[in-house]
Amino acid sequence: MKILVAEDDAANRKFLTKLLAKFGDVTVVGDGFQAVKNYMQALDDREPYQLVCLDVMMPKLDGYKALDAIRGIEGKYALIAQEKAKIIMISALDEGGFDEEMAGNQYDCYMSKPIDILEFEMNLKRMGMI
Amino acid sequence: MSDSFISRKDRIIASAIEIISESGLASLSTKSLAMKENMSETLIYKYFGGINEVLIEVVEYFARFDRSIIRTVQGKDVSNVEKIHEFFDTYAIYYDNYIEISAIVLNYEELLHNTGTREIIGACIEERNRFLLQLIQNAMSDREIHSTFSAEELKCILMGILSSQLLDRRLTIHSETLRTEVMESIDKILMLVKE
Repeated sequence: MKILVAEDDAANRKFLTKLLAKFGDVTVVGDGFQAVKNYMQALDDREPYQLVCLDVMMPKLDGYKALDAIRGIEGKYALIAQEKAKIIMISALDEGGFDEEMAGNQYDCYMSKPIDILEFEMNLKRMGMI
Repeated sequence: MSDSFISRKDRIIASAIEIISESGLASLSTKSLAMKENMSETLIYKYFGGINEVLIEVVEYFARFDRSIIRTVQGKDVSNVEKIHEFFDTYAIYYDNYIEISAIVLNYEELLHNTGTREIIGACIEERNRFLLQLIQNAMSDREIHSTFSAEELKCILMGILSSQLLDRRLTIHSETLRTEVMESIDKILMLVKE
């Protein structure tokens, strides 16, 4: 499985890379622009990401907008449901602080920091990723 | 090509922040933006009424992040001192990864003289200061920290650390991250005043 992690906190980047490495190849980027670019490039290279973890508070382009852009790219490429990436939104905000309206129904799950490993793995199972 | 999936407005704002960071507020114009975005100057007017509107959006963008930080820190179930630590830690991480955005807060005075941005930047900085002051006052009344300094003095000391480190980074290259340097100083001060 190919995994894209967009997260601006170096400590969380390290943590997620370590956690996700056992499930596949992890690419880490530090801002929303880069996340969208990488996602698009992977589709062009016919090596798409299956899982994307987007931090909500990111420099340049926040997680909500990166989510919009990624789903827009998938629409443009006419990907069917199974081909679309599963997207996990991550933020330091609790569930109440996360703006579901801004994210729309475009994401697959939400997790607040600090990431709980068991909960993370449970979500991957629920999404059929592992 | 991925750029076309990111709204043109968002790209213009990001470019405007880069221009301000690279060459100063005075360099921001529809011409410099058009060059950076590789588009015609007239196309900029399709998205914004003029350069002042772009600047207002930039400051709004900056202020939105401040509000997110405050909301995040407010929601934490930790002591007031830990919230103060989190407050600075979140800023430092953000600026570390997006040093260009620090040009906005460092242009505070200039933005106060612009009628379009005055209220937004003023409210943003006031809110940031008020929030920190409140955390310090709460920490004092909960006896987490002692009152060698008044809450206002302590707020100025802590904010001063962040501001001066940011200024310094615009002049010199540091081997350590902003986060490491800022948090080392912030934690030292917090340790000094801790009960």
